[in-house]
Amino acid sequence: MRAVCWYGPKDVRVDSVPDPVILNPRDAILRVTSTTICGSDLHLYNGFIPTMRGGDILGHEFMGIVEEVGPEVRNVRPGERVVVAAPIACGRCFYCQRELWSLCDNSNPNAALAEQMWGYPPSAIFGYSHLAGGYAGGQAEYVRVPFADVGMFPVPEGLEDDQVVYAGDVLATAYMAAEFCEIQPGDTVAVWGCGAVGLFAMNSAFLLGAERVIAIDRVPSRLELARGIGAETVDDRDDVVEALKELTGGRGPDACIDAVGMEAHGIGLQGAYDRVMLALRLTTDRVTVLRQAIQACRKGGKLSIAGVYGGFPDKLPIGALMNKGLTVRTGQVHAHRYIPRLLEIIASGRLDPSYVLTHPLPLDEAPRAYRAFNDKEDGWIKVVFKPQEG
Amino acid sequence: MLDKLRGLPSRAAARNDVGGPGPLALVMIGSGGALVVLGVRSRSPLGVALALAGAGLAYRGASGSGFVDRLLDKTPAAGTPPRRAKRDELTRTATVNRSREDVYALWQAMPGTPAETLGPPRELLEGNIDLLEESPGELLRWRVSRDGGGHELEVALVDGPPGRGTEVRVTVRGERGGGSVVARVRRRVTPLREQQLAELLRRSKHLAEAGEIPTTTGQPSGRKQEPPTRAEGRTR
Ligand SMILES: NC(=O)c1ccc[n+]([C@@H]2O[C@H](COP(=O)([O-])OP(=O)(O)OC[C@H]3O[C@@H](n4cnc5c(N)ncnc54)[C@H](O)[C@@H]3O)[C@@H](O)[C@H]2O)c1
Ligand SMILES: [Zn+2]
Ligand SMILES: [Zn+2]
Repeated sequence: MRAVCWYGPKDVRVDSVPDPVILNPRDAILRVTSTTICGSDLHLYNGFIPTMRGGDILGHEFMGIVEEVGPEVRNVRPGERVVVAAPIACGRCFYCQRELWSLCDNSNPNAALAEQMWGYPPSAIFGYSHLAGGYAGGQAEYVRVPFADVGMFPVPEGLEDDQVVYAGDVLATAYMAAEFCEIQPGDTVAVWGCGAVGLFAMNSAFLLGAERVIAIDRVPSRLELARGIGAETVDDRDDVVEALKELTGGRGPDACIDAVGMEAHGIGLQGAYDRVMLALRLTTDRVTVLRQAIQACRKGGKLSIAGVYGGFPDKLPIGALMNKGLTVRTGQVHAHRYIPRLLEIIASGRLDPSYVLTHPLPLDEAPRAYRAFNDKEDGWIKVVFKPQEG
Repeated sequence: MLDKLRGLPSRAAARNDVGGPGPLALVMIGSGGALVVLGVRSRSPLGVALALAGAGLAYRGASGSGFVDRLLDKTPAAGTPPRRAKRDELTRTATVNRSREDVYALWQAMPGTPAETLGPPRELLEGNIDLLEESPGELLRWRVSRDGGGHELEVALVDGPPGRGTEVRVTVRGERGGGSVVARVRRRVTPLREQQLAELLRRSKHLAEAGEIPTTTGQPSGRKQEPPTRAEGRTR
């Protein structure tokens, strides 16, 4: 089959590789009909996530038709059309039973590696480095889905791929990020980043009752979409903290969502400082957005971190965080918890996520698509590959 | 409770934790590794800062390098090394989200669980196995003997807090005796046993909770030099 393989920073290629087969009783094989590039894939593309190996198959946001199931998968049948959760989870451990699916104890074959890094190992994630299990991802014609009996979700009749493919990752992430804000009537939510995660977080914040949403980014087409949702916008090259204070009557946003993560572009002196530190390898993550969000958030407010971080960042204002009594919520998405609810919201017509899709492409276009999406070329908001076409 | 106190690591054990494949060893690569080593050795606040900076240095360097390949090709690396509660005794604990009876049954069957299922940690059960002690639902103790030595393997089960599963404590004991001087020295200095114990416990938990051990062996990749073992010859 054809699959998108990682060979090194900024080097992805579409290769012919063997087809996946069932390896464990709870596996299934999926024929992939839609598979996207997520902002998280860019962290791999740019070499920010350690433990990638040349030849790894990428992709963790995908859906398709069930081709084959293992002997222990009894609730889904070949031929069913399903969305797949990005984290891989067993459904039976302490964490899964508490709906903390991305913290599953039993899905990561390299758990020891993650344990060394972080104390305890989180769940595996498709196509997301060997630290996250080393599973082949879904940017391919076929993919093996472990624990398919809990990780695959049938799509309701009448919904298109382009509406539901995001439910397994970015949409669920965004909804979770908004839920973490515990939005109260009258609340203002500030969202850094107008990629798919940020935009869907804005949708979700409104769905959950936010009064106002303020979007921060610099890419014109992305800010335009945010305004379309009903958000007010701030250019990230301006003094963001001041602008937010000004826009919120001097109090600050009640909740701040970081939908950017470790590769935020920096500005001014601090941006230059971060670039030097990174070049010297004295820091691992660019925390521009975290710094701003901690500074801007109102006293006692909520900080919800959806953007991905990995290492030991430099100059994190823990003093402001502590003294202002902020609540921090974060994590890789507990996708299994949200997918059914999101499919219902989409089916009811309250949200049509297909508005983010700008580039439906055949799989062979992956190298060009990665480049354009990474460079934030104006108009490239979401890429969805169609591996069965072209 | 007393049991827990006794399990506390001695100072020697703490030093051992740093010296073994500790948390930061993973990222020891390039110049960052040197800083990490310096930092960890000095054990002062500055040392910690140095170690973190070093880890940062090394962290990005690890991406895409042969270092990672080499690391992953080895026996599954252990997590935090098990505590060395006494000389010549290794112990490690995990909580399993199943009843004590279920976990006991699983461990009863462990000596018969094939290497294909258990992988490298199966080594701990390789040899002549004698059951020394069994106390249903609570304790199992075996003697594993082989040429020039062997060890004892003990599994002790207690209920976790209500609704919190079963605490499983596995101990490997009595490695000292037997074998050539070289073999004895090697056992002292390699973390292999610790890795095996950690992995045996982890895999038993996978089996008990998920019913299978997660694997990627046999899945496709673009690495043509190592053809998947079980995926041969199927093209659609
Ligand atoms: N927690 C999870 O489970 C999870 C799941 C999916 C994605 N993510 C993470 O969410 C983040 C966003 O994902 P995405 O798919 O929307 O990515 P994306 O790359 O499409 O969007 C990121 C956006 O952030 C903007 N940005 C960069 N620096 C900024 C700054 N200083 N201030 C404001 N905006 C800035 C960019 O212009 C871009 O529009 C990534 O870090 C991704 O890894 C997390
Ligand atoms: Zn993602
Ligand atoms: Zn689990």
